[in-house]
Amino acid sequence: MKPSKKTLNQTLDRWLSQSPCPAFEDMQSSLGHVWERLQPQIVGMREEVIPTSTGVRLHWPWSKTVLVAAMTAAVVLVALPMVLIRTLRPDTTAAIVQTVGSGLSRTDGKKSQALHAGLHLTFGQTIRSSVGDAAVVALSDGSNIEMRPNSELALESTSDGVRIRLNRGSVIVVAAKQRTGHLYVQTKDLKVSVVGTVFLVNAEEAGSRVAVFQGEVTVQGDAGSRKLSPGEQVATNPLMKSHPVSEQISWSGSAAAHLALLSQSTSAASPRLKFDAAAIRPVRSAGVFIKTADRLRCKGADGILTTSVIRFNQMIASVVSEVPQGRCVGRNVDPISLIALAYDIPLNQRISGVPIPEELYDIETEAMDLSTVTKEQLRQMLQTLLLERFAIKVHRETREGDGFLLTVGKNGPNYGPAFMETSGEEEYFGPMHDASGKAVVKGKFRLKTFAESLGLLDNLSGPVLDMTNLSGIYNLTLILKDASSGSRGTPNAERFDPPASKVIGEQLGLRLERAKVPVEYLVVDHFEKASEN
Amino acid sequence: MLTVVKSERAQEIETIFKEHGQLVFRTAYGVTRNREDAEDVVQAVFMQLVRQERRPEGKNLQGYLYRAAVNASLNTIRRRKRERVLQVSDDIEAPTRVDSINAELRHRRLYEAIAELKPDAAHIVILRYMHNKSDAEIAAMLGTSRGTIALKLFRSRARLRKLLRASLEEEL
Repeated sequence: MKPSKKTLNQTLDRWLSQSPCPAFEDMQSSLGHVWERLQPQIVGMREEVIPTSTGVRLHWPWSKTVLVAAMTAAVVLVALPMVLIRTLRPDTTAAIVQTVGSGLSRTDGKKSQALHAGLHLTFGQTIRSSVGDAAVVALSDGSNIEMRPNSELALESTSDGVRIRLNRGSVIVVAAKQRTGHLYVQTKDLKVSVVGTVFLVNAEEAGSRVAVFQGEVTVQGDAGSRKLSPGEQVATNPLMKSHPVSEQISWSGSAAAHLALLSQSTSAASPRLKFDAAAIRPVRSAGVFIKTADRLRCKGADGILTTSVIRFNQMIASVVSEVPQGRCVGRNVDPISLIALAYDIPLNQRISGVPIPEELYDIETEAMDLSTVTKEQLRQMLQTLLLERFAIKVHRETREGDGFLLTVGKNGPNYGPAFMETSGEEEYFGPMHDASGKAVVKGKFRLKTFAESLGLLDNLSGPVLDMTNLSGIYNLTLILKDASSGSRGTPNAERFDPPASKVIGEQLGLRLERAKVPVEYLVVDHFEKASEN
Repeated sequence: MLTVVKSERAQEIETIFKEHGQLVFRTAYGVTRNREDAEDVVQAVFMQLVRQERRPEGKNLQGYLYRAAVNASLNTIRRRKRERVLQVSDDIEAPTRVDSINAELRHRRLYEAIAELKPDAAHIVILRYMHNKSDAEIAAMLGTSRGTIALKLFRSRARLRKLLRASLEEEL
C-alpha cells in the first residue's frame, strides 16, 4: 500500500527538523578561525595613517600640509606594509621555538623555512618536525608544546584563546593555567580543551588518542564530550589498540618527568620494570647475516614469550633451546626480533623509521623474582632494556587501510577436525606452501593470531582483524589453492580457487569480509648499537 | 610615531561579523553538516562583503547575509554531488561504515533536493525548519509579505515531497 500524503509530509517534516546544530563552543572557535583568515583583507582596509601617538584622526580639508602628510602616509603604506603589520601588531606572535634538533620547519603556503631556537612563530603558520627530531615550542601564555618527530601542527588564534591544530603526529602539552582564555588542541576528529594540565594528543590516520598525566581535560569528539583524569586515555576509533602511556611517550625528552607526575597523581603508573641482570653481546664473528638464529624466548610464570618468525619468505629452521624460568635467552638475535618481542608487534605489523643496524646479539637476561615474574612483566623489562642499552625511541601509528574482518558466520563456528578447541600454548606454522603449492595455515592458535597469519597470505594482500570474540585456543587448519590469475597489491579474497572467504565459511564457519581496518605500525624514532655491558 | 587606525569600513565589517557571524555559520553548518565547509562559507560571505564598497542592500543586512550563506552552502552541496557523480563507480566491493550512514544519507538527499528549489524557496524552507522562524519573522527578514511566505512554503514542501518521494517511502 502506498503511503498517504499525510504520512509522507510527516516524514518530510521530521527530516527537515533534524538539521545538525553546531556546539556553541565549536561555533565560536570556527568564527574566530574565520576572523583570523579574514584579517589580511581587513588589515588592507586600515587606510588612515597619522603621524601622532594621540590616536586623533585627521580630517580631510585639502590643504597643502595635509596633502603632503597624506602622500607620505601613502608611500609608507605601500613601501612598508609588512613592517607596519609586524611592528604594530605584536600580538601576532604565537610562540617561540625553545629547543629543536636539526629538523623543525615552518611552512607558509608553499614556502618552507628551517627554524632555530629563539625564533618567533605567528598564528596561522604550520610547523613540522622532521623524522628523528623532537622539538619544543613555548606559547606566550607559558604553555609548552613538545612535538614528537614527524609531527605537524598549526597555531591558531581563536576568539577565546589559542588552538593547536594537530595535523599529524603527537604532542605533549604542558598547559599553563589559563586565566581568562582557553587552550585547545584539535585533531581531525576530536577537540581537547584545557585550563592547566599535562597531556598527550596523538593524531593518526585511523583516529586520535588523548592521555592525561596531570590535571583534567575535556575531550570532545563525534561521540560526545568526556572528561579525562590522570592515567586515563581515550581513542576515537574503538578498533585502535590501547598501549601503556609510558610507551606512548617514550620519544619525549621529558618522559621520565611526565611519568613521575603520573605516578604522583595516580597509583596506576608504576616505575619501569627492569631486569636484575642483562648481558648483550654482539656476535662480532658473524660479519654477515646469519641464516639460522635462535629465537629470543622469555619464560614467565604464566608461559613462554617468543617472537613469531617475522620473515616468512626466508623461513629458517630455528634451534630452540630450553629457557629457564624468569629469564630471556636468545642467540644471534637481530634487533628487529627483539623490538618485535618487546613491543608485542603482531605478525602483520610493520616496523618503520630510522634504519636498524644489521648486527646480531647473544642476549641473556634474568629477572629479580625468577619464580613469579610474568610474561607481560618480562616484556616490559625488554622495553627498558632497549631503552637503556639501545637508546631506542619509538611510537606507534595506526593507519586505516583496506583489509578484512574475521567474524563468526551466521550458523556459528563449524567445529570439526579443522577447527577444534584445545588447550596449552599457541604453536603454529605458516602460512606456508606445501609440496603441491597450496597455502597452508595450520597449528594451535588464538583466533587473533590466526587472523594475523591469514593476513600474511601473499594472495590475500591485506591485514585481517579478528572480530570473532572467540577467546580459546584452537587447532586450526586451512588449506587454500592460489588462483592462477589476478594481480596482487590490493586486498582480494578471490585470488584463491575457491575464494578464501568461501573456504573459510565452509570449513570453519567463519566469515571473511572486506573492510577498512586499522593497521598498526611501530615507528622507531631513534636507535643506537647496543652499549657495552 | 606612526599609528594605524581602522577605517570606518573595517570597523563596520568587524561589527557586522560579530552581530551576524553566528547566523551565517549556523546556516552553513546546518546545510553542509561539516565544520570546515561551514567555515569556508562564512569566509566567502564576508569576503564578498569586504570587497563591496558600501553596506549592501540598505537596512536589510541580515537578510542579505542569510541569503548569501544559503546560496554558498547549497553551492557546496551541488559541488559535492557533481564530484560524487564524477567519481568512478568501481567501489562496489569497497567497505562501508554502517554507523551514522542513515543520518548522513538522509541529510544529503534532503539538501540536494533543497538545492533544486528556486533560491527564494530554499531561503524560506531553511529559515522555517533550521532556524524555527515564523512566517512573520521570515517575511520581515526577507522583505516580503506573510501571505507570500505561507504560499511559497506550501509549494516548496510539495516540491520536496515529490523530489524525495522514493527516499521517504523507503524509510516508511
